[in-house]
Order: sequence, then C-alpha cells, then structure tokens
Amino acid sequence: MILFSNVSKAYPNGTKAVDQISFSVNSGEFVFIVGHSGAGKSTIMKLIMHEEKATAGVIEVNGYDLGKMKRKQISKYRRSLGVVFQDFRLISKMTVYENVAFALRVTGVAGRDIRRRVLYILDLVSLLPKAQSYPDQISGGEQQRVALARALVNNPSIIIADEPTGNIDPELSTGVMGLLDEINKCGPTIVVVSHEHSLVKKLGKRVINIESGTVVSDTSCEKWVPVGEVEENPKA
Amino acid sequence: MGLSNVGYLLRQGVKNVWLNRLLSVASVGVLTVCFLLIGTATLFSFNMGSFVHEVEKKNELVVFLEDDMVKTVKHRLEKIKNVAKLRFVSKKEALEMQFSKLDKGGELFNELSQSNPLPDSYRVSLHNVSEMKKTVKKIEKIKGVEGVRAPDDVAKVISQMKSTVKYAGYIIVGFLLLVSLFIIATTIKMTIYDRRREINIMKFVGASNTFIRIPFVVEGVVLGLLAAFLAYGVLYLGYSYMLDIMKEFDVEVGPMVREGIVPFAEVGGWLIAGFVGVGSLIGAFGSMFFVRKHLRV
Ligand SMILES: Nc1ncnc2c1ncn2[C@@H]1O[C@H](COP(=O)(O)OP(=O)(O)OP(=O)(O)O)[C@@H](O)[C@H]1O
Ligand SMILES: [Mg+2]
Repeated sequence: MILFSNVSKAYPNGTKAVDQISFSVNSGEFVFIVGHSGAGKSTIMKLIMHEEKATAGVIEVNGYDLGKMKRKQISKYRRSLGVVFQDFRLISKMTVYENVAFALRVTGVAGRDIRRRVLYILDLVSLLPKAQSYPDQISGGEQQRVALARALVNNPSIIIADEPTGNIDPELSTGVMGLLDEINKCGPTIVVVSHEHSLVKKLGKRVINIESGTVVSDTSCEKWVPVGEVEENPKA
Repeated sequence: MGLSNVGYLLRQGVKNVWLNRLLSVASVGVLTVCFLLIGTATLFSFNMGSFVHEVEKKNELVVFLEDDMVKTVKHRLEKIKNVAKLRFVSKKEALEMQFSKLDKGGELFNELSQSNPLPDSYRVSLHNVSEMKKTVKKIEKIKGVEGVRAPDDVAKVISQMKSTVKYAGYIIVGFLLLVSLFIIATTIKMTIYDRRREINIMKFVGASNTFIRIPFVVEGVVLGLLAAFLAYGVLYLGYSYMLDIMKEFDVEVGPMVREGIVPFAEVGGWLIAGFVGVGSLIGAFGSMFFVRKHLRV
C-alpha cells in the first residue's frame, strides 16, 4: 500500500519536481508511471525509497509514515522494498553474485539459504553464466537485470523500478515486463516507471501520467494516449 | 545480526584491504612513516636519557668515615632510597689512588703508609642527582660520617640536562603524534570519500549502519596493524644496523656512549605496544567517524 497525499518536493536549488501530488496504490497492484523526461517520475521513486524527503504532504508506505519515520527504522523499511534504480547502482567491486547476495545478507539470512536463493534468482533473469563477473565486465542490459535480480531477491512486498527496460532490446524488455507481471501475480505491489509506450499498452495495467510534477491522468491503459508518441532518450 | 553475518563482515573488511589496495598502500605508507618518526624520536630520547643517566652514575659522592664505623654507616646508607650503589674505599686504597700517578715507591708514599692520614670512605652513586642536596644532608646526619664531598656543579648541569631531554622528548613525540593524526585523518577521509557511492548503495538496499560500518572498521584496524608491524620491523633493522656501525667505531665512541646505548629490546616492547594500540584505535575510530557522514541518507 502506497499513499501520496498532497505531496510536493522542491529540491534545494528551487526546482519544484513534484507539485501537490495525490494517488494511492493498493497492495498487489501493478502500476506504470509515465511522463516526459524531467516530469518528476524519478523524484516520486526517490520519495518512496526515502532517498529524498517530501517538502510538503504525507507519504505512507507499508504502514510507515515516511515523514515521521525514525532514523533507525529506515534500513528496516527499505528492506521491505525492492528497488531497480535508473542508474542501476551496482557495487563495482562485487561480483554479480555478491551484488545480489548483499541484499539478502543485510536481512540476516543464513549463508546456505543465501546461495540457493541467489542462484535461483539469477537463473530467473538468465544471468547464471555471469554470476562471477563484475559489473564493468557485463553489458548495460545485463547490469539492468542484475539490478532487477537484487530487487527481487528478498521477497519484497513492494517492487519499484525506474526504467527497468531502458537499456535492453525489445525482446528482453518484453521478457522483463512479463517477469514483473508474473511476480505481481504472486503478491508484491509493483510500480514501474517506463517510456516504452508499446510495452505499457500491451500489459494493460493502470497508468499514472505525470507532467511537470502533477498527475495529469490516472486511468487504465486503454484510455491513455501517449503525449506525442515520441520516445525520449532516458537519462543514463 | 546473525553469526554468519559477523563472519561475512569480518571477511569483507579484510578483503576490502586488497580490493582497495591502492589506497590501502597509501594509508599504510602514511601511517608507517608517522610511526617511524615517532619511533625514532622515542629511541633518540630514550638514548639521551640513558646517556645522561650514565653520566649521573659516574658522579659519586664521597662519604668520609670516622674510624671503625664502616659497618654501621653502611647499614644506614643502604636505607636511603636515593642511594644506588655503594663502593667501599679503604684508607689504603685511597692512598694508593692518590699516588697512582706518582712514584709509589717514593719516600713520601712510604712515610704516609706508616701513618695514613686519609679516612676510609664510601663512594656513593645516586639514582637521582637532582636530589643530591637532600641526600647529602641525610648522609651528614648519620653517626660515624665525618663529612661528605659532593660534586654540586655537575649535579646542577645533569639535572638540567635531564629535564631538557625529558621535555624535549615529550614535545617532539607529542607534536609528531598530532601531525600524524591530522595526516592519517585526511587519508582515511579520502579513502572513504572514494567509496561514498558504495556506502550509499548499501544504504538503499537496506543495510543498517552497523552492517556498513563493521567492514570499514575491520579494514581500518587491519591497515593500522600492518603499519604498526611494518614500522616496528623497519625500526628494529635500522637500529640494529646503527649499532653495528657503532661497534666498528668502538674505539672512538668511548665507553660512556657505549654503555649508555639502550638495547632495542628495552624500548621495542613499548614501541610495538604503542604502535599496535594507536594503529588499531586510529583505524577503528577514524573509519567509524568518517563513514558516519555518508550514512545519513
Ligand atoms: N537533485 C536534484 N536537484 C535539483 N533538481 C533536480 C534534482 N533531481 C532532479 N531534479 C529536477 O527535478 C525535475 C524532475 O526530475 P526527475 O529526475 O524526477 O525526472 P524524470 O521524470 O525521472 O525524468 P527522466 O525521464 O529523464 O528520468 C527535473 O527538472 C530535474 O532537473
Ligand atoms: Mg528518471
């Protein structure tokens, strides 16, 4: 359960990235967030994972009021999220395996369970052969799937993904979305930021359209007409 | 935090020393140089102290005794705390000492030998020459002591030298310690700044602060210990080498200096204990302190 009510975010330099936004995502829902580059999509994701704090309004996730959350609770809260970052954020000195395993270790899972679970997840995103490679030894698309694997590995109740298909070919993109859809059926709430209109359309999920920091439409996919139909270059 | 995690975090810390080897070498290098400076200063001031002490020991009080009071006086002298060593010099020996340079077979020597005017005496060396005056007063009060001859001027110079050496030692070592702390802090800060991204990612995956901190602390301690042992080894070799060279010039160096040289073993224990203590503390607290800044996300 994610709840935004009248949330605004102004960055220290004065940029108002999010302006009085309200929406809620129920447990088990699958939601796309779309919009132009610079519309404020990543900012919404950052607000959810408490990387940025809202300057006004209330955000509630999994029963936590993020504005009132104590410092000590933050790490525990984040463990209930699975996050795929737009810039992946893999640890360059760890292998693919270690990067994924790390997300489990922080939760205190025992060693042998970690191994089994990580190998299972890497297989799921077809990365087993690259388990011992380092992030700079694999392609952008592969890095993206490592990030996805890390987000999935500890059974989060909410998965948020910022452009999880931004760097991969259409076939793989369909695969990743299909995977997310399947995972969604097993319970977790999923929020995905995406530019890929065709993909968004194909899946037929709820779509929240953001422009200049406000919600301009929040509907099912059939009613949503993409602005301009032009693919923007996502920021790397 | 489970036990398997503790093992993982410790291993991670040691592994990071290798993974970040460039900065590890830099940190260990900086810390080692600091330790070497401090160690050298310490060895030098120990040797100065010992040299002054050597001079101190050579300065004896002469306690002249009344006839037949040797035993009683000895007993009382031994009870005085500042007395380090007693050496009995009999009338006869005293006379022979006076004449050592002159002709012992001479008339005067023979004549004096018959009725020796010199008293028996004790040569007394002191632990602490700066308290000579007090000690002399105590000795003068002992029954059976005829008089005391004390090298007052020498005592003054020595006690001045002693305090100079002591305080100069403190100041130099203290100053080096401060400079070292500053340099080391900067190095650790740089090392951690270089890895702020890594810390940041860990935070967003949900790692607790402790979980992130432990490997850094372990890493800091390992680096501190490496520097400690490295510095100790270099000091040991350097000192031994210096002693070897001095042996070659034995004749010129003279007994005073030679006897005053502190064997490495005497200082070595303190040095390694200090290095290990300071090294691991700096490593641990330095890492902890500078990681803290990046944990606030
Ligand atoms: N740290 C920051 N400081 C100041 N301004 C920022 C910061 N991050 C983002 N912005 C600004 O806030 C606005 C929204 O940025 P955001 O990253 O949320 O856009 P986005 O919708 O994710 O775009 P994209 O599709 O290109 O990723 C933009 O105008 C951006 O320049
Ligand atoms: Mg973005």
